[in-house]
Amino acid sequence: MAFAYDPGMTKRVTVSLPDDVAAFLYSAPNASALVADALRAHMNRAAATEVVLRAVGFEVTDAGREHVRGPLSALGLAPPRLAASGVTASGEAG
Amino acid sequence: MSLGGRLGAVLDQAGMVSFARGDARVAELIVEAAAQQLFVGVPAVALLVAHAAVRGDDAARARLVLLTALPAVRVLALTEAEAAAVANPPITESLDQDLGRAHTAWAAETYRAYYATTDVRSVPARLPPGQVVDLAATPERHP
Repeated sequence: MAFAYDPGMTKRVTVSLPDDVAAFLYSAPNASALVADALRAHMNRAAATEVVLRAVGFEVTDAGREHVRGPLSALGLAPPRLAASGVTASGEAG
Repeated sequence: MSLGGRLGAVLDQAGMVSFARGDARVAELIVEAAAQQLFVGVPAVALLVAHAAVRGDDAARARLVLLTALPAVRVLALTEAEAAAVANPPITESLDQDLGRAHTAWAAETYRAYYATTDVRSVPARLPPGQVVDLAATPERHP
């Protein structure tokens, strides 16, 4: 069974990629499907991470996640206050 | 260094050792970071200290290997430029030979991320309390 992307449900997006990643993408038979799969894996990594951690015995709870949710959520609003001057790197680690 | 996303927290060696011993609180930080499209940084020097702390404990060592393989975790390498920067923090402070925490603090400052630990008393003094996530504030939980 072949999967096809409905053009009516897709968006054309232009991105800049490192040379090696672009070369890999050009070699793929269906670059759009490859990108979509990779991004979906990225989008679902919290669930995937939790599955892995539970499988090796970690008991991940909502209460525990709640403890760190607030501070991490605040990063979207403002970075943590920095004590040191002269920090030049941006919060974006990329 | 490209990490492919925003770093939300950096884990020190106390947090790593807790994870290696099965403490769920560190696991919860990682899952929540992933849910918010953030990464958790693992500074290479702190990772070395953590590995040394659990040597002889095969299960703990295996969990440390797993930690660095998780999709929401990024190991923060130590290049020659970073080594020089870590050794010379902006605010004069004795490293007390605790290079793992020095690398962690430097990474937290550089990436404007939280310093996450299970031993808040060991956090370098130059970091403000608002930049520290105290994972030990909730009860320790092991399988």
